[in-house]
Formats: sequence, structure tokens, C-alpha cells
Amino acid sequence: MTFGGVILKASLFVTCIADMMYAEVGESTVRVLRRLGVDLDFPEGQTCCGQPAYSCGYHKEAAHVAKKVIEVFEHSERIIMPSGSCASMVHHGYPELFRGDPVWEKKAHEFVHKTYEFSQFIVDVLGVTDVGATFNKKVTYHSSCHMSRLLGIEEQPKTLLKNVKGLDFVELPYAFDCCGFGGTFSMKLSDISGAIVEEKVDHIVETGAEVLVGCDLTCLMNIGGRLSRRGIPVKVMHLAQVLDQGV
Amino acid sequence: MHIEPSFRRRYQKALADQVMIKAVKLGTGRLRGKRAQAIEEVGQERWANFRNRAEAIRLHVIQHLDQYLEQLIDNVLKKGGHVCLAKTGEEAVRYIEELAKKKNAKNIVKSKSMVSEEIHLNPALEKMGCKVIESDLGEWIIQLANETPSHIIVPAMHKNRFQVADLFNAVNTGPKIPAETADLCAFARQYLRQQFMNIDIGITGCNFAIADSGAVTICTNEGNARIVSALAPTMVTIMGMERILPSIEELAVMLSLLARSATGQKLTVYNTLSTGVRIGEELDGPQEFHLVIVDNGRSKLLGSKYEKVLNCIRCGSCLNACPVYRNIGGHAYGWVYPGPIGAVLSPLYQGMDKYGELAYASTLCGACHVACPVKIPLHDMLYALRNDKVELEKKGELVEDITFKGWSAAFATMSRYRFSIRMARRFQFPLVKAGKIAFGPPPISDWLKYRDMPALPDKFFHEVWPELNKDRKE
Repeated sequence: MTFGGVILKASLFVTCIADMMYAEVGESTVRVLRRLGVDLDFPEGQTCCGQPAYSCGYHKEAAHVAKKVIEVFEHSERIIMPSGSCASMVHHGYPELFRGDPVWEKKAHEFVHKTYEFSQFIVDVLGVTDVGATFNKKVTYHSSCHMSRLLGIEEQPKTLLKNVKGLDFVELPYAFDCCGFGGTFSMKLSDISGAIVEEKVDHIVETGAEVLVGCDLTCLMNIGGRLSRRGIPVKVMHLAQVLDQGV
Repeated sequence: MHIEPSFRRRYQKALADQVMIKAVKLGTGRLRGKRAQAIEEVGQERWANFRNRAEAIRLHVIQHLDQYLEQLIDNVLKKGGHVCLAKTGEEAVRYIEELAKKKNAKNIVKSKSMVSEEIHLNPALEKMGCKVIESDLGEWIIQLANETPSHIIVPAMHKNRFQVADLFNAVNTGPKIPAETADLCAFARQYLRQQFMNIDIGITGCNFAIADSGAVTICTNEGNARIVSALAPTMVTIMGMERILPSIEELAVMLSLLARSATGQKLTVYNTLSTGVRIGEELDGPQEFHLVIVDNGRSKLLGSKYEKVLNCIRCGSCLNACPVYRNIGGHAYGWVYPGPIGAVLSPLYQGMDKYGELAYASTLCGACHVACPVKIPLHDMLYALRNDKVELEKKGELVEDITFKGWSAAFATMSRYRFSIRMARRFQFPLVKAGKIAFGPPPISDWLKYRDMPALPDKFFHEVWPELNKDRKE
């Protein structure tokens, strides 16, 4: 597929969590986007968006890493991230980190303007709502906080899911409630975090879904970790993995 | 950031109290649902406009606070009232103590006031020998239980009807009251009505003071503030210094927004506008009126990056939206205001040293700023407070300081980043069982207390990439 005869060039910012823990999500992201005709590269040198330090109050340390990331993607036309929270770190955190900096503020804004979350890129930029996947499962969707509230991406992932052949979509009650991850919150205040994720898991069980889908790997790691600990056989998948099925 | 053992004890106690948590989840759930329904009725677009107008009104007032305060004070004085502008909570308490002494007051009846909780008014008055009765049902319940409010608008949210029945039966001289809501309300009504009969001083809170008329607006669902203001010979209204509106025009917007955000009502049942002392032939109203305007840390926020927090109209909507609040209730936060607004206000009013850690009592999910009717960027403020704690106050935790310095050095260079995750993969084997980690040393032991963690895989994405990229034409 080409877009008006033009092949869209884009770069994958896979995020450290996908790089380290979920290579298969990165692979699906690449396959789905390439199938849609995107010429995708993976710029060397990329690491982490800086969110862990930023949300703990360590802005200097976050800025140090963020500068590196901005440099790595300097020549990219578009950047795609398979993570709503990391993309919102770019959109909201970067301008804040470099506010008033004569050199980096401008660069940060340029970076923001070319950065997209995965489902947002497919639906809003490519204009595609059906990627041609088939998945014969009952699926529910957790709407992660930063993606929905900070980036305003609510419908795009659900639209893509509902157009997957064979997929039985069921709404998750309180889908917009936080899963309790919150970065280091999940360790510093683990007892509260544990109570919050328990509510989320209970709601997932209520739906009777076989698969929980999300667009944020850290939320999925949190929810999946609780499901695993409770021995509940609900499979956890990133949206990209579902869109990569049956093609 | 180090979490103080005292805070840890408080929230762990809360988590263990399943009766309390059940009550809080039920209460917040109801309020949340009703608010959502109210917004649905108004329509999302109109609601957004409403919020924008309310935000603009509040911003305008805060930016011209000196001017509006002056106008308010002038008008209250003109209408025969007295004004105390108290810099601190102690000053405000001292003023009311003096007044009680002068009036030789025995019976003081209050309607709900969070500022009075903030300045610890009741214990001071009781110490003087006054009998202080809270006339708001929720406030009365927690007064009987000798507790503080756990929610800004539903102070006894943490109690269920059985607990309330026990508290009521302890002061009841008649037949035992059953734990049914209607019976409990009937008893409270009858008991509290008697208290109004021999009231010496009435104390009320204030939702909004109107600068151009000197009126105070008090919203209640029980009508108790109206009775207090009508029957008390001496009336005292306590307000935070930021709770002003220019005129009654703005009140229309704020009242409908306040009720919908707080409880989902179109309007609170009783909205009382009181202009102080009875004049001429008027049949009711106090003979003496005192407006106590409390600063207590507010003015130092003017002009700061946290100024917008003064927009707050105390609707409690951010509490209901907050997953942390819903799971630990209000008392665990430690000061008067709980939830996201409390996590921001407490360190700002009372000091970072004392309450700075509350900024970490949040998942940063952003539900609070979406819920806020006057669009306070609570979410951004929590980030800013964390940053202040680390960089301005140098109050990071040593382990965390070292971790993030090391992280920053490693993650800013690809080779070091890749080296460190390879090392982690190599040395994770003692912890891995069937592809996942269920037990481990601190700090991951905290994570593992409730959840498993996937083991680092055989191949990282960047190790898979060359294979994936084989067929791509450069």
C-alpha cells in the first residue's frame, strides 16, 4: 500500500520496555506497519524516553537521557512508539524538561510534532481502520491512563480491534481506571498498587474475555503479573500482536 | 523518595480495614457515577465550556485577590459585620476564642467547615468549656466517633450504617435505633434540632463569598447552615482567603458546577446567601456577624507555579476519581485534605518536610485533573512537587539518587544501556522459574509481593532487528 503514490518513511522508537522484555511486540509492530506500506527503520542508539527518572522527580537525569533520544531521531521524518505512556512522556514531559532552553526547547517541540503512538499512527495518519487481521477470540481492552487522558487516544485502538475478523470484542467495566502501575509507585507503595491492580483483574474476569489487550506494556506487565500470580488463564497481548494475527 | 514509616503505617492500617474500604468504594462509586450521569445530561461539549468558564472566573479572582478581598471586607463592614483577616490558623482560633469568651458562650453549633478542621477550632473551643455541636450529619457522626473527616464533602464516607447506629445509640436515651438509614436520619434530625434551640454562637463554613455584596454563600443538603445562620444571635463564618467570587453572576456558574461535580445534583438542596446582621425590621438573622478570613499558607502560593491550586472549590471530585484514595480512604493522607488535592495542598500549606511524600502517593494516572471542575493541573503539580523534593530540597533518597544517576549515565549511551541489560539477563537465572520471576531481593520483592514478573527473554528486540530488517531495501 502506498499513500498517494508515496511510501511513508518512519522510524521505530521501540521503547526500553519492549526492547528488554517484549521483543515479540516490537516484531509485530514492525510487521504490521510494513504490511501497511510504511518504510520503517530502527535508528541505532535509542534507549529509553526518560520517564522513570522524570516521574520520580529526577528531571536533570531524565533530560540527559532525553537529549540523547532527540539526537538519535534527529533525521527521522516520523517516529512511532508502541507505548502510549512513553509517547505521552515525549508529548508532555519533553517540552516541560526543556522549557526555556535556547537550543533544546525547539528540538524537543520538533520531536513532539513527529512522534505518534502506534494505533494513533495507523488510524489518524495512515487512515486505516482495518489491517486485515483475523483473531478468533473474545477480547477486552484496557484503556491506559496517559494514552487516553494525556494523548486523548481512546477510540483508535478499539476501532482497530473491532475490525479484526473473528474477534469478539467486549467492553471492560471501568476500562479507564488506572491499573495501579504508576512506575516506581508499584514498588514504593506496593500494597496500594496491589489493591488497585486487584480491582482491575476482577473487572477483567467479569468480562469473561480470553485475551486482555492494551497499548502500554508496563500496564500489561502489571496486570499480566497479577493474573499470572492468581493463576487466571487470561492472555495478555499488545494491540500490535493482535493486529499481526492471521495474515 | 523515602516513604515515612508513619505514612506507611497509616495506609497499611487503612488497607487492612476492609469494612472502611468497602464503605469508601461504595461512596466514591456512587458519587462518581452520579457525576458522570450529570455530565452526560449536560453534554460533553457544554460541560467543557462550563469548566472553561469556571476556570477563567477562578483565575481572574486569584489574580486580583487583593482587590476582591478589599471589596469584600468593605462590604461586610458596611453591612454591620466584623472582619478578622487571620494570617495563621492560630490567629483565627484566638479571634473566635476571644469572641466566645466575650459572649460567655456555652453552646456553639457549627455547620460544615473544612477550614475549621484545618485550624483545629473544635478542640480549642472545647478546652474553654464550650459545648460544640456539628450540625452537618456526616460531621456529627465523626464528631461522635472522635475522628476527623475522611472526605471533603462526605466526611463520614468511611463509616457504614451499622457503625453509625452504634454511635447514635451511645448518645440515645430512648429505644434502640435500628441500623436503617431512615431511622438514623430521623434520630439525627430530632437530636440536632434540640441543639439549635439554645444556640449562643453559630459557626458556618463558606462556599463562596461575594465581593460586591459582602454576602457569604453556604451550600448544604440538609439545611443546617440555614438554621444556624437564622437562629444564632452571633454568627461566625470561616473562609479560606481564596474563596471569593466577584458577584452573583459568577455564582450561578459555580453553584451548578459545584453540585454536579460533587454529587451529580443539578443544584445543592439549600443554597444560603447571608449578608450578616439583621437590619431594621427583619425577623431573623444574627445580631452580630463575624467573617474570619484565613490565610494559613495560601498567600505564599500567589504568583508561584502552584497558584492554580487556589482555584479549588472543594467539590471532592478528584478524590472520587483517584484510585489511591478509593483504596486507602482519607485518613491515611494524614492532614485535613485527602486525595489528589490533599497530596498537593498538604505539602504546600504545611511544608514539604511534613507532607512532601504525599506527592508520591499517586499513580500519576491523571484522573484528578480530568475530574477537576476548575481545571487545576493536579497531575502536573504532583510531578513538580516530586521535582522540588529532589532538586530544590535535596531530599531524594540516597539509594534512589544513586540509582537515577547511574541510570542516567547508562541509558544515555546505547552501548552502556545494552551492556547493562545483557548483564541483568545473564545474572537473572537464580530467580527465573518457568520463564517468570516470582521471588527476588529488594526492591523487586515489593513488585513480586503481588505479581509475577516475566524473565528477560533470550533475545532483546535490538538483537532480533537485523533478522527482521534483512529484506528491507535501504
